Amino acid sequence: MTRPDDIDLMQYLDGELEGAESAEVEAALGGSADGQAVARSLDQVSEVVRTHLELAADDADPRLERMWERVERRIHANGAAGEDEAPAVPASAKASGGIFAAIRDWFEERRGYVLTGAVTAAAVAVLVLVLRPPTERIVERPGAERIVKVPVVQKNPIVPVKSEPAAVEELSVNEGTGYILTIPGDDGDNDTTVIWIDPDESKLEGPI
Amino acid sequence: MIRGAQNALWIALGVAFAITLHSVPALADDASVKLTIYEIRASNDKGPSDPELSKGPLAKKLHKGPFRSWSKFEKLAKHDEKAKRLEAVVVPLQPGGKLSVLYRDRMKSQGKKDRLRLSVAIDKKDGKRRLDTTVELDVGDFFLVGGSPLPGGATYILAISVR
Repeated sequence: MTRPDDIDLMQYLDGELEGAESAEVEAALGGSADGQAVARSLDQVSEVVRTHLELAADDADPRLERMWERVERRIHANGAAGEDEAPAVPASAKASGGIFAAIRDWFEERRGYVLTGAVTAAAVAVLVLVLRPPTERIVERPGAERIVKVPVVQKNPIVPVKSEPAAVEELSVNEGTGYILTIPGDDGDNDTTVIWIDPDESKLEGPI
Repeated sequence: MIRGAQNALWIALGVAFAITLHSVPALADDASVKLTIYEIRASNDKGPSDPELSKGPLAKKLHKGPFRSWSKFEKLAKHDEKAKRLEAVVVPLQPGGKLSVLYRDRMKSQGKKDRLRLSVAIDKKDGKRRLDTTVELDVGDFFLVGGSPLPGGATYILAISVR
């Protein structure tokens, strides 16, 4: 009897054939010593490959586990997971870092947002500094005295602030007459405004 | 993600606020002013005037105009009051009666001192109003009210300043 085809033999050994096909290959193997030898060889090769893959998987397991822990921690840090769903961290690991580790972790988890905030603040600071009216410009030269140039924007010379005497808008005096007097100032002093009350003698009852 | 964005926003606002606070000059407080009120007795009695009146900002003013009629100026009282805008300050006066001062507003104009508008009322002991006036004056300037007689031929003077 002729030995079965190699493809059929591999499918038979992998358990992929069913019913009549499987029985046909099995019958052919029974009558062919050559076919049985090929089948044993293929079986041994399959065993070697399977063992190698299992060993590789065993070796990769711890690394996969650590990777998943990191993924879960990030998911938790972004608020997608609740407190209860956070991956368990050994107490010794939490305690060993101390407050600096906690601060470092906080910034590590929010690094992107802190960076965004800092960039925005820097932009605002630049705007404030650019829009602020300049008052003086300072030019530094290495090894030379500081040179200050003033003014940059000021166009009008500084003039003394003008003063004016008090102005009486309304005046009402009962039981007497009110006068508004202005006493001239001297030596740069303001004129002085005085309200002088001339009491009605007939109704004078007291000082005020 | 939203919580993180809020964190970034708060950090940015905090830094921006600190920078702005540092950069912007202090805003003038127009909500209140300081009142200084002198009650003065002017007479021809013997003796020197009160040093605060003979050497202070009122010295020159009290030697001019109608005040030249007296040689001695005594400080009966000095009142330092803080007046909030549109809230009357009431001060009891030494001879009796009371003074009411109402700070109305502050006017600013370039090259000039700020002007303050005050309403001033003086009531007698019996509650009758003696004087009612509205005055505009420069910050730190004095205006005076005089003429009410005091015993002994003296005269009562009020000097009011605001800053």
